[in-house]
Amino acid sequence: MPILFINNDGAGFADRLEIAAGTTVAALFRQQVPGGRPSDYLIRVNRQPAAADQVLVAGDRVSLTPTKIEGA
Amino acid sequence: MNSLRKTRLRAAWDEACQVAERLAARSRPSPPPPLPRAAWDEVDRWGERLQLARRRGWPVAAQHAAARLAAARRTLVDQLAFVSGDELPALQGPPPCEILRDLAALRDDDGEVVLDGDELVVVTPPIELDAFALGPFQIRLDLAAVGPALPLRIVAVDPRPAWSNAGVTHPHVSDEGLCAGAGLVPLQQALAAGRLLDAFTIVARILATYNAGSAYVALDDWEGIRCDDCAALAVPGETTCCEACFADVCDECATSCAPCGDGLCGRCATTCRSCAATFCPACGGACAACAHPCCEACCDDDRRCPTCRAEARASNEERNADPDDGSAESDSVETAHAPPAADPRTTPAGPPVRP
Repeated sequence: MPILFINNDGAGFADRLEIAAGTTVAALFRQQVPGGRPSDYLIRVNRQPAAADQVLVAGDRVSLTPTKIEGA
Repeated sequence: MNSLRKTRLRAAWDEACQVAERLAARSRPSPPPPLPRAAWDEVDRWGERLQLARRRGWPVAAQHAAARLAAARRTLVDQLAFVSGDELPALQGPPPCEILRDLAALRDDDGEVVLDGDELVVVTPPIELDAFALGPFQIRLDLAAVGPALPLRIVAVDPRPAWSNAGVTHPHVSDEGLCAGAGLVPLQQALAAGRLLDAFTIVARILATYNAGSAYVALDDWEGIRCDDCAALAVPGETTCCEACFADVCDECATSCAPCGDGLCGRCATTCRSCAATFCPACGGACAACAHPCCEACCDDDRRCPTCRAEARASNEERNADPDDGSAESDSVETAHAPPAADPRTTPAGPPVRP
């Protein structure tokens, strides 16, 4: 099922992903940020803070934004 | 739906439509980002200090200058990357419903969101970095601006600027311009796509993160300068820059060269053994005979201090005395019975000369 995934870390791309039905927020995070710690990110689903066990549905908009972004 | 809620929804929809109109009507180019001249000058300054410290053989000053030079270079590279970015893709205008959702989420997060003319303004919560309270900031996005520069202004609501630069209200903000650093590319992408919630969130996270290695002004220097001699925090106007090594020292530790008047730190100030005057490396050195500190005024043409000069004169007189001359003999007898002059090389009376 399709979702919109926005990664505001690094290149900051927004892309449409196909995920399996029943995928949770935590599972998606592990797929997209291998080795990353969820506590280092603001994770939103449809612009709202999301729980790790929230099950994603088709058309969801998921965004990841690092909590620490170093300016220069 | 009650009428109050309807009124609020109508107001929110109207606001979202105004934002969408401004995004769609973008035509005014944003001003080009300023060249990082201050960062360039800083690299220049610390490079000169490092060269000077190495020439004069001052390892501590060289180490300090090298560290500051490395930090200044990092800042310059980051700021050059910011001004040399490629042209942004044409900003797309999201539909009003997406803008409405972004604005509602921003209000849920931060509370204060206002459309002020062509600027969409979000006020952050009070920012605190390393227990340093900087207060809240307005993030002002110019909806009508296009171009490679970020159409953003960061305005301190309750400014607490660095003492050395009134334009630096945050370690990563100078003259209302944000140096986005690691957040630049995702921020540009978010703005290009019209993802206002993401853009403001990225800026807010940059403001909430302190990067000590690449700040316009480090928090350690925010309220004053650390004395390079005693490490105490010196208030503005009560510091001296050592003219010899460019260290910053407090007025308690600062001294000055008696011959030329230059300000000096403790490491560069030397006391003349003969006249007790303080002098800088350019106005004195070491006696060529005894190696003790001696200012230019006390040294003779052979770079000998008065004590060594007097000893040399006495030795010459002894050598010049005619052994066949009776008066010379009586002189030599008197000299022979005179107590030997103290050898300053074995009985130093002052501190050793500093390099």
